[in-house]
Amino acid sequence: MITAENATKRFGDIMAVDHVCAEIRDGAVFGLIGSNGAGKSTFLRMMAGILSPDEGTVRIDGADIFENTAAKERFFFISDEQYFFSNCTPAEMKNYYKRFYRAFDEPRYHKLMNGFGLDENRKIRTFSKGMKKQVSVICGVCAGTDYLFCDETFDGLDPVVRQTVKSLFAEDVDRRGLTPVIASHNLRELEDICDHVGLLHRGGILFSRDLDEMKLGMFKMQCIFTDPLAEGAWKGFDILRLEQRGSLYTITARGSREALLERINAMQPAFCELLPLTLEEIFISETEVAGYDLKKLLF
Amino acid sequence: MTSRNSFSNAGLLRDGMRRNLWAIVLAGLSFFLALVLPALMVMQRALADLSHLMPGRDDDLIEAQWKNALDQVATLIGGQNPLPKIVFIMLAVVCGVALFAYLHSRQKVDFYHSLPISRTRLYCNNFAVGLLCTLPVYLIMLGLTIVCVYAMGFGEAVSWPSIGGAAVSSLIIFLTLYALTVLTTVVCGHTVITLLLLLWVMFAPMLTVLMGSALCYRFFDTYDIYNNGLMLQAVRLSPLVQFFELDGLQHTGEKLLLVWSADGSAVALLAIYLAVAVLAAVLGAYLFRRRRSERTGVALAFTPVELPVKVYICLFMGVAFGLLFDAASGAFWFWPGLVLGVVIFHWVVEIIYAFDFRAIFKHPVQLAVIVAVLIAGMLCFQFDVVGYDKWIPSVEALAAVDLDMRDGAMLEDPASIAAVQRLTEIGVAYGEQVKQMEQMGAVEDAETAMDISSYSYSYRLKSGRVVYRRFATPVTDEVRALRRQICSAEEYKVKKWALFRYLETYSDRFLEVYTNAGGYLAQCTINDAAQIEQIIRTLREEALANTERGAPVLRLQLGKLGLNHRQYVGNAYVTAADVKTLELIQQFTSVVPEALAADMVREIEIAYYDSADTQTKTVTDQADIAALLENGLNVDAMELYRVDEPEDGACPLEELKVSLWVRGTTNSDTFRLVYPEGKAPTAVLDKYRPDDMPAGDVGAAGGAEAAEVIAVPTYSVG
Repeated sequence: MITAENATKRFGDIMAVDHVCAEIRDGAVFGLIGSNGAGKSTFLRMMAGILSPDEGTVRIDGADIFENTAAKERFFFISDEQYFFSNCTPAEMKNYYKRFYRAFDEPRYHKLMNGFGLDENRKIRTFSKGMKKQVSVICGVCAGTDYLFCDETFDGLDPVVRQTVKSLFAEDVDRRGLTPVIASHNLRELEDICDHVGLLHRGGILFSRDLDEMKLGMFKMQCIFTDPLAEGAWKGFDILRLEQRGSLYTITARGSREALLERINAMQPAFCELLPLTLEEIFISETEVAGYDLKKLLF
Repeated sequence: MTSRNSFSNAGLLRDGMRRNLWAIVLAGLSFFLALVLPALMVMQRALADLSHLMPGRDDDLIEAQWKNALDQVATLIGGQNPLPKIVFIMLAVVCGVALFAYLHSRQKVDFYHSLPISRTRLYCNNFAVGLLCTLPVYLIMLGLTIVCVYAMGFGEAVSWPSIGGAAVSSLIIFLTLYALTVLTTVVCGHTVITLLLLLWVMFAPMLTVLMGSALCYRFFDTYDIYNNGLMLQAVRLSPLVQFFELDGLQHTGEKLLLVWSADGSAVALLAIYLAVAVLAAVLGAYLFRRRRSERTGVALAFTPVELPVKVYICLFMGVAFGLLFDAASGAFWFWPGLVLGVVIFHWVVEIIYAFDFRAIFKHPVQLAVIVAVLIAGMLCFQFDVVGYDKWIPSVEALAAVDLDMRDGAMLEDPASIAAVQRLTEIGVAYGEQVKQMEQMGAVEDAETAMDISSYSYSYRLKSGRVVYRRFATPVTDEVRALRRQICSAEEYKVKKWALFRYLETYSDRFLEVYTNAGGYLAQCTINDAAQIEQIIRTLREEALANTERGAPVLRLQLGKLGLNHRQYVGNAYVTAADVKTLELIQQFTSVVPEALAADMVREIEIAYYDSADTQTKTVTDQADIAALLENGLNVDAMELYRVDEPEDGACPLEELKVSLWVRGTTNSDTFRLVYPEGKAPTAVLDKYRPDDMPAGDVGAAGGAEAAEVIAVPTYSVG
C-alpha cells in the first residue's frame, strides 16, 4: 500500500503539493484527478521517487521511496512525456528495462508488441506520439511491478487503443494484483476504469474515495414544482449545486438515494428524476465548493 | 533499506558505452588525427627525403636528417605533442557534459531517477562510461602509433619512459578536467550555463591570481610582478593551461623548473592534480545525490551557491573593468570602471539566474553592498593600509635572502642577510622620498640627478613564508658595494653558480668548450664522465680559491641529456688564474684559450650615443684595432649579457656597449665586444669620439650614456 502523510512539495514560492494525505490500496485502480496545476504530476513524481518531499512522507508498505531502490523496483513510472534513448528501438528499451526489473515478462512484451502492431526494431523516433505511448505502456505492463504510475497516459491514444490499454490494466489488476495509479484531467477516461479516486486541488487533496461510494453518495436530481417554492425550502439538503429555470430545478446534493428521494417527495414535485453523476460532474461540483468556478471567470 | 537490484555493473557499463558510441568514435577519430596520422606523415616524408640522398657521399647529411626525423617522431609520440592534449581537453568537456546533461532535462530526469538504481550507482556508472569511452581508445591509438613507428623502422625513436610519462600525465590531467566538468554539470541546471561556468572554473582561479597581481602592481610601488612567483602559481591553478607546459612527467617551462624541483619533475604537481580530480569526483557524487530533480532548466541547481557565485563574478569583473579603464584612459577611470563592471555583471548574473531581462532590478541592496565592499577594498590598496611598501624585515626575522629570484637555494649567510636587509632599508627610504617629492612635484628633477636601478629581493622568513619586493634604488657606492659583497661570498658561488649545481648524478653529462676568438661554435665537446668530473672538481676548487674573478678565457657550457634532447644547465667560466683547469682541458682536448687578434678583424665600428643622438665611427687602423681588441671579450661566445653582476662567475664588465661585426663569406657572423671592469681602452675610444659628444661618458661606471663599438673583421671566425 502506498501512503502519503502530509506530503508537501514547494517550487520556490509555489506550493505544488500541500500536505497531502492519501492511501492507495493494492489491487485497485487509483485515479488521480485534479484541475490544471493541481499538483497531480508532482505528487506522482514524489511517488516515483523522483522528487523528495519537502515535508511529510510518501511510502510503499512503510518504506520511504526516495533513493530506495528496493521500493523503486516495485513500480514503473510512465511520464507524460516518456523519454527514449536517441535512435533506439523498442527492443533496446526493453533490454534496458530488463536490467532493472527482474520480473520483466519478455514473452508477453513480444505478444503485446505484435498485438499493437508495433515493430520492435524500428527507431522509436520515427513513431507517432500515440505509438510511443503504446511502447511505454507495454514496457510498463510487462515490467512485472506491483504498481504502475501513469501520468496522462491516455493522452494521444486513439479510442481503440485506449480501451485496449484499459483492458490490459484490468487484466493485470485481476491476474496479479497490479495497482495502476493514473493521473489525468480527462475524467471520462478514468470513470470506467478507476476503483478509487483522489481529487487534488491547488496542491491539496479534496477527497480520496471509492468511485462507487462517491457516486452512491452524490446525486443529481431534476424536479418540476408547479407552485413556487418557499424560501428555505432546500434547507436540510447538503446541496453542492442548484440551478433553476422556471419551474425546473436541477440539484446536485450529497446523501443516499433513498434519503434524497424521501425528502424530495415530501416537497411534492410534479416530476422528479434522480440521475447518476458522471465523474466530471462530481469533479466540477467538488471543485466549485472549493472555490474553483471557471464560469465565474468566464462569464 | 538496501537494494535488491540484481543487474551487474558491467552490463550497465556496456549499455552506457553502447548508447554513447559516438564518444568512442569521436575519441578514436580524434586520436587517430592527433597521433597516428602525424606520425605516419613525418615518417613517410623522412623516408622519402632520405631516399634522395646517396650513402657514401651524403653520410653526414643522412645522419643529421635521420636524427632529426627520430626527434620529430619521438616528439609526436612523447609528451610534447600538443594535438593529443587538445583532444583530451575536448573529450573531457564533451563527455563530461554529455553524460550528465540529462540532469538539465525534466523528461530525462524523470526517466533515470524513477529507475530502481541508486543515484550513487548511476553517477559512478555515467562517470565510468566517460572514462571508458576515452582512455582505452587513447591507449589503443598510442599502441597503434608505436606499432607503425616500429613497422616503418623508426623504433629508435621509441622511448618507453617518455611515452609512459606522457600517457600518465595525460590521463591525470584528463581525469582532472573530466571530473571538474562533471562537477560543473551537476551544479548547473542548464547546459549553456554549464559551459559558461566551466570556462569560469577552468580559467577564473588563474585569472583571479593574475588579477590580484595586477592590482598589487597598480597600487604598490615595491610589488615585484615578475619575480614573486604568483604568475607561476596562477598557471598551475589551471590544469588546462598547465597541460601544455608538461612534457610527460617533466616541466618544460623554465620558470616552473625553478619552483618545483631542480630536475624539473612534475610528479608532485600531477599528484596534486590527481587529488583534485578525486576530490572533484567525490564532491560531484555527493552533490549528485543531494541535487533536487526539480532544479532542471534553472541556471544553478543549488540555490545556496547563487549568491557566492554572483559576488565572485561581480568582484572579479569590477576589478577587471577598473584595470581595463585605467590602462585605456588613466588612473581616474579606474574607479568608474570598477563600479561599471560590478553593475553590468550584477545585471548579467541576475538575468541568467532568472532567465528574464527584468531581473536587472532584482537585489539592488546586494548590488550596493558589493560596490561598497569593492570600493572599500580598493581604498585600502590605495592608501596602503597594510604598509606593503614600507615593509622592512628585521635581520632576526630572516632565515634566507636572495637577489632577483635567481637559480638555486636562497642565501643563509648572515652577512648576505644583513646586506639585503640594508638594501631594503635603502629602497624603502628612497621610495618614501620619491612619494614626498611626488607630492611636491619635484620627482623628475630628483630622478635625473642620480642613477636609479630597480632591484628585486626575496626574503624567506623564519616562519617559512617567502616575501618578494622590488625597489627602485639609487646606485650609490654603498648599494654597489653591498651587492658585490653578496655576489662574491662563497655561499653565493656554491648556491648560484651553475658550476656548483652541475650534479654528478645528471645522466650523460657533456661539456662544450668555447674560446673568446672561437665565435659561436664550440671548440670541442667533452663526453667522458671521468674527465668531466675531474675538470669540474678542479675548477670548483680554483673558483673558490680565487675570490676575485678575472676575465674569462674559456667558457664551459654544462650540458646533460634529457629524455629526448640535450639540456643546458648553465655556464662555467675559466680565467687565466685557473691554471690547473686550463691544463686539464688542454690535456683532454688540446684546446687552449685564444684571444681576439687584430688580424681577424678588418674594421671596428664604434657607435657613440647619448640620450639624444647616435654617431658612428669606423676604425681601420690596425694599431687602434689591436688596442680595442686587447682586453675585449666576445659577448656571444662568452655569453656575457649582464654588465654589473654577471652570472655564473663571469667578471663584472665595464658599462660600455661594444659590438664587433664578424663578416665572413656569408656576411652573417657578428658579435659585440665588452670589457672587464676597468679594462676599457678609453684612450682609443676618446680618440674617435665626435666633438659634440661629451667626453667621459664612455667607461664611466654607472653613466647613463655609453658607446657602442662595432668591429668588422676580414674573415669569418667559424
